[in-house]
Amino acid sequence: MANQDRAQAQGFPTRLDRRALLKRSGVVAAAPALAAALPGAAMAAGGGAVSSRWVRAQEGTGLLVGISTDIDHLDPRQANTQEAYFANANVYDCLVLYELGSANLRPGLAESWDISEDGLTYTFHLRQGVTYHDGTPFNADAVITWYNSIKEGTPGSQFDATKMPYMAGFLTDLVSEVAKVDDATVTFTLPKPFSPLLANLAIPIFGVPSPKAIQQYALDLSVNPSGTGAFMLASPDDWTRDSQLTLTANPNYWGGAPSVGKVVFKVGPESSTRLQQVETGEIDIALFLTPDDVKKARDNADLQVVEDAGLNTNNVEFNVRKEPFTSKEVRQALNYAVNKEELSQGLYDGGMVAAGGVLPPSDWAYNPELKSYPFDSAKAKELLTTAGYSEANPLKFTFMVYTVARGYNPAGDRLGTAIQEYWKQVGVEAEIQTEEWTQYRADRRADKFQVSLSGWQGDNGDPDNFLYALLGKANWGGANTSWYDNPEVEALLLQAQEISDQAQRTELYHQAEQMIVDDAPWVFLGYQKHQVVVRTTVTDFQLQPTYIYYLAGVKKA
Amino acid sequence: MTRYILRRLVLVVPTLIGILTAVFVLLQLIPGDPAIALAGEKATAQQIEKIREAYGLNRPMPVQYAYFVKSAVTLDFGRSLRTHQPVGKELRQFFGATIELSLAALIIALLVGIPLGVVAATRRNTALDYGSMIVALLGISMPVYWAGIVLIYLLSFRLGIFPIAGILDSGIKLRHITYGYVTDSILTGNWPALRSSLNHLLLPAFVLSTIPMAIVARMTRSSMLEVLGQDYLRTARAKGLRERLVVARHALKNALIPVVTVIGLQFGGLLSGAFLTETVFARPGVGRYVVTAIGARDYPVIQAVVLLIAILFVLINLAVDLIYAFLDPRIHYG
Repeated sequence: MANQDRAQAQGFPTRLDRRALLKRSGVVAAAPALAAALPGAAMAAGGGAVSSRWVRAQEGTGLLVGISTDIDHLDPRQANTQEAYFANANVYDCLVLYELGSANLRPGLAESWDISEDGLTYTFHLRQGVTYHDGTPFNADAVITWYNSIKEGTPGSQFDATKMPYMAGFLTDLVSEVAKVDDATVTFTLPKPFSPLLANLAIPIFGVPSPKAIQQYALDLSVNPSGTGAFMLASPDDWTRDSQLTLTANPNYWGGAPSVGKVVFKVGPESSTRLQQVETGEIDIALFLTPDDVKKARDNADLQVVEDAGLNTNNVEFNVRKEPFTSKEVRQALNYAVNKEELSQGLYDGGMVAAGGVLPPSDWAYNPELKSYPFDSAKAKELLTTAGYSEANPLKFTFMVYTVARGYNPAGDRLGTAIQEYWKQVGVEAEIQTEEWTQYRADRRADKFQVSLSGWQGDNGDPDNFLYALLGKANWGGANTSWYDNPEVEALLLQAQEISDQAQRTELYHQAEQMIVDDAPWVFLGYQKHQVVVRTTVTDFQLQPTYIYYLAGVKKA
Repeated sequence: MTRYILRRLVLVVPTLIGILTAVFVLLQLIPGDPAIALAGEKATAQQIEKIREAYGLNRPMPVQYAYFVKSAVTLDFGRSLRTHQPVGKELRQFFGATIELSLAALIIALLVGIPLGVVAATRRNTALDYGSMIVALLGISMPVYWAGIVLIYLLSFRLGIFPIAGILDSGIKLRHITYGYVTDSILTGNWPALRSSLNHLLLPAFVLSTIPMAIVARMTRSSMLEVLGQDYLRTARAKGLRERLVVARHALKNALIPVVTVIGLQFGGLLSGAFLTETVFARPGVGRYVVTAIGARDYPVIQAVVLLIAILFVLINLAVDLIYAFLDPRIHYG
């Protein structure tokens, strides 16, 4: 089922819907008495903010997008922040793109593709007549130049060691050769079948830059971008680092000229600032607001919250090789002890969807039938007794908790305290310890933790990116830091990597996920909702599960 | 005088070497490996090792220190580990905006703080005195961050007098020379940009000025009170000078010496306050630049910024000492 359908089934509009807006327009925020008492305050009818001359000064400047941190590179190969992924996805095209509003795939710079019977050869038929922003034509040579620039050790390689984890893991380690057949055809040869490859190619870091710009600028392409995308950087003066980036519509875009003439990305580190900006119209779209600010935005008739269950997971990880977590009863008991629904409401203002397993509802292999562990203290106590614990001999351990807010857990360390309290209710004594975030990640990989808060943000919308990345044996000490290894699960996951039929893969993932839930290597907590606040003047804005947004079709009244 | 300045400048060298060493040691003490920070959550052990090699992070400590000193001496810190752009180029972009904000705040602090202190001293123990000092107390007690959020809410969000955030309106283009936005608008004769950048500067500069303003006001007041009791002022009055002249020419100039010291010290506070102000008002600047760098363990950037700020402090201290001589002819350096 398409992501959009699933989201709507849950009651989340993924697209701006006029009727939903009208229903909401009766809601008027009560302006605080203090502001009302101020002389000369021209209150707007909706949110109480004024539509000031600052907003009028920006009229005609295009679609204004409020983001929280600097766009680090306008080079997909070097981009390293979510904001940069988003911007790059609108300047560059990948061979394969995501369908609007879902993680399903659609043709990008490759018009179509064939996969050989053995799954080892991918033949891409390239789109004809596409031109880069710098005038260079797009063709097979462009693909080869780009691929060589990221494949370490090949002629023309500009590989930067800091990009290793992404470039290598998602593409160059999986492919043995990329070859030109003719001007309009390239083949990717794989040493072994790997069906998530197509989804990987749609990640914005695999946007294909102009070969001329790659050769001319090398790593400085990030400030001299040239792609085939819907928007382009018209002049270096249009980019003030850490402040704002203005992109101009590409009238020759192969997907049709964009609806807005310009897109301006404005950096505002504070969530509260971005909320006020979107309320007054200083920006049209506010990203990454705190759950609290999203709640406030719901009361403003000028604003719409566009949301779905995010492509992420928020969980507690057991190190299944360390006592006492070698015991399945203990792991299951600690699952039963936690009340996810209460966490969602109490800690996240309703911003978390309780987990049924590993995969979030925005993933295509999501199994709505799977219901992991309901809240059941009695059952938890019973399992603990079976495992040999009692009031006289309580279960005790050190619980590692990070302190920063993450996309999958905006509450930061408060989540740890809440879980500690749930466990205390069933007689478990967890002692919380914290570490600075970088150190935390290092120690977790180094097998130093017993139980820890964890989480994951999906990269490509493929279930393999959750299930095998987090629970496959090859990723021990990488992303699999519960050191989970179930040979049956491993076999299913590896088999699913080799099949390209989505229905067959879904079946295998359902089986594997059921076994994982039963093994309980994690406390399956939930999925943080993906929420973007948009002014009602903006239409056709669509969420992508991978937290990027294609802006070519977005309209502004 | 020239010899004194030269001697002071020579003494800057050991100071900077001390600062450099302290920065290097501190960076080594921060928990967290820059290679892991750079690699992100998804890297494998070999990939992290590769990064360590690429950036020389696996070299012995003394060798790393030598490279660091070399980059400081040549003022070439190489490229940022995060943005892969030359540190010098990026720093230049952010420094202009921060200095402009700090100077604007300092000017507001002086323009308001000194008169406030003078009025309080000359009208000692009157309602005016108490009023000014309550204002000063408020200024010093309000955290910059909080004051910023409250003033944005009232003046920008509710009343629309100022824009909420940013440094320039979206539609305005500005060619950069110094990266001080007001300065560049004037230099390029770009009047719409001047209007817009001043509008964006005023509120953050005021917020940033509150603490130094309060300190300057209190310092001016107590210093004035001391000077006003001096014999030479009685003489000035006795020879028939108008009170205004007595205060402005004879008292204030002498009272300003300790105030100048305080201003010198406050400039450091301004730079750190500038970071908070930049965050609340979403202005680009050195403060935010270095904090992002610390999060990413971007060593070249951290080292460059700390060195730059250290040099700035040393120069300000030197300037303060020289201004003494100008304000008080009795002070000689030789």
